[in-house]
Amino acid sequence: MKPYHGLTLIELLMSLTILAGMVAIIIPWVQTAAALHDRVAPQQVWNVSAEHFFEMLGDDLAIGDFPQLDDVLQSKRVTQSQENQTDGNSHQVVTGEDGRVLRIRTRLNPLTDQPDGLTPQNHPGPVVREYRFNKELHTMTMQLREFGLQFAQPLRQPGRVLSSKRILLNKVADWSCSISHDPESDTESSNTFNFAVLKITLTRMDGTQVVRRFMVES
Amino acid sequence: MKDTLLITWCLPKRSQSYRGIALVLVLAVLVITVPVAVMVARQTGINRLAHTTDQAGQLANELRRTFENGFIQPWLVRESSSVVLPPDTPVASLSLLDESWTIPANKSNQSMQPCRVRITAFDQCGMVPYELAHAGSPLRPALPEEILTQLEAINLQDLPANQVLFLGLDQFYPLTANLLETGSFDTFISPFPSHDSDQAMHAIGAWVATCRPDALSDRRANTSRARRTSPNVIININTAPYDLLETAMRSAGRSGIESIRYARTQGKMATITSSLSLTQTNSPNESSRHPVFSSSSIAWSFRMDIECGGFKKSWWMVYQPLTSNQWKCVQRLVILDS
Repeated sequence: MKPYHGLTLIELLMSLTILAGMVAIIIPWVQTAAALHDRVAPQQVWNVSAEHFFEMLGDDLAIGDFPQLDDVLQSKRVTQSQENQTDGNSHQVVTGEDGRVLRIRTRLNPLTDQPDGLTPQNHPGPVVREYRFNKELHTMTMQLREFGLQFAQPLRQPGRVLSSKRILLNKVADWSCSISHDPESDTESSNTFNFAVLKITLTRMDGTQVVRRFMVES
Repeated sequence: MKDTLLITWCLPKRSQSYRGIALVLVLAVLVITVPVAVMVARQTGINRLAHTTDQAGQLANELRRTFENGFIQPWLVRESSSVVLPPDTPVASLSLLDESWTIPANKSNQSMQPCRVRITAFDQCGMVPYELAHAGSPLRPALPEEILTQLEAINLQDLPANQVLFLGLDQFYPLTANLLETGSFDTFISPFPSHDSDQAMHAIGAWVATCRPDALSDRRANTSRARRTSPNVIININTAPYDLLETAMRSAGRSGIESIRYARTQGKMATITSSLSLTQTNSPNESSRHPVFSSSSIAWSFRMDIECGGFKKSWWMVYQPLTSNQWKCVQRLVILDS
């Protein structure tokens, strides 16, 4: 007699029963995993974007011009002051509007910065980067501004706009930046240089905060 | 017979039964594992990207800070004033450090990653200041033709004063890119000199000093007047290439270059004699267009390259003396072409 190779009826019924049971188990499992993934993956993507944002800030602070100036034009690289206050000083970093705006005196990055209407022939070196939090749109934007007449014009009143606003980070519930001149944080000062700490706090829409501190020579 | 058929239909051979169950189990396992594996793979990719970005960038920045404070600063204080380069040096550069080592890839991982740090010093006082590199300058003949071609391609003095005040090599990027587009050069030549002196001599940054304290004070004093006047030019007799030194001394009407050449050939510091005295030409106006000479430098620039685990970052830094035993970084730029 020719051997039979197919499933028996009982086997078929049992298989369908097992499969149905497994599907019943798997569907919630996949749903749970997908929900977890949907929750975790955007956070990870957001974290990566935030890291890039912080790296950009770090590069802005690291590069630039830090000239030696005489007493009249004494330069402080870092300050935190009232927006309306003007003292004629020049700063490398300034915060304003209750920590909602951060301006950094730095240099243009020819590869990543694209100033509007600028040709290579009038390519600027020193620029001001203005980081601003938009509370309505929950975005962090960056805009290039002209350096102005560096010493006569304080950083809190930067020159004309060089580029349109560029969104760097979405889904930001809140942001703040503050500067402290805490001598305890002066870990690098093996010499007479003084360092301030620029503290940036980003708050995600779920309420979690990412904090980063940068040391800035003051 | 009927009973036999029923048994055959309902109870097949044992091996056939196992095969069917195995197929169902494999199917079930596949359904469970594939979506999970896809999610895990995606998550791992995101994590790795975040880790690489975070760790490598921070590590490079930390190393840069460490080597600036722990290596460059002490070198400037202790050794920069006694640097002597051979007279036939193509450019005023000196390799300071080329170190490789391995470090743990991260805190939890035992795998190691290679790191390399290279630092080369360039004496700004062994170059032609940007203000004296243009037509009519007594030092212009000391510049090679290809550097003059780069200088001719764009005149930064036409830029607004606020862009000229803090002149930097990064402002020459469009210039060198234009030269490539117009066919003046076959390959892109970075304005930043490389560590290799043979390649560095093609870069404008090895020949033209953009960031000197004397130039800054002059530019700042009167930004409109700065375009018409030139600052005092200090040339380091112990580091400047021979052609530049000879041109500078001839333009200043100074003698004694042979004794300088002899001393530098012997690896000894040439000293300032009365005929080279700094004070003799330190008067303003006409005489300030002529170079004055010094046995050490008041401005050093450095190229630092840091490679870690496939991530590379390069900087250009200019230091000037703050006090007698302290130097200050007055300009730091990111080099983008490395």
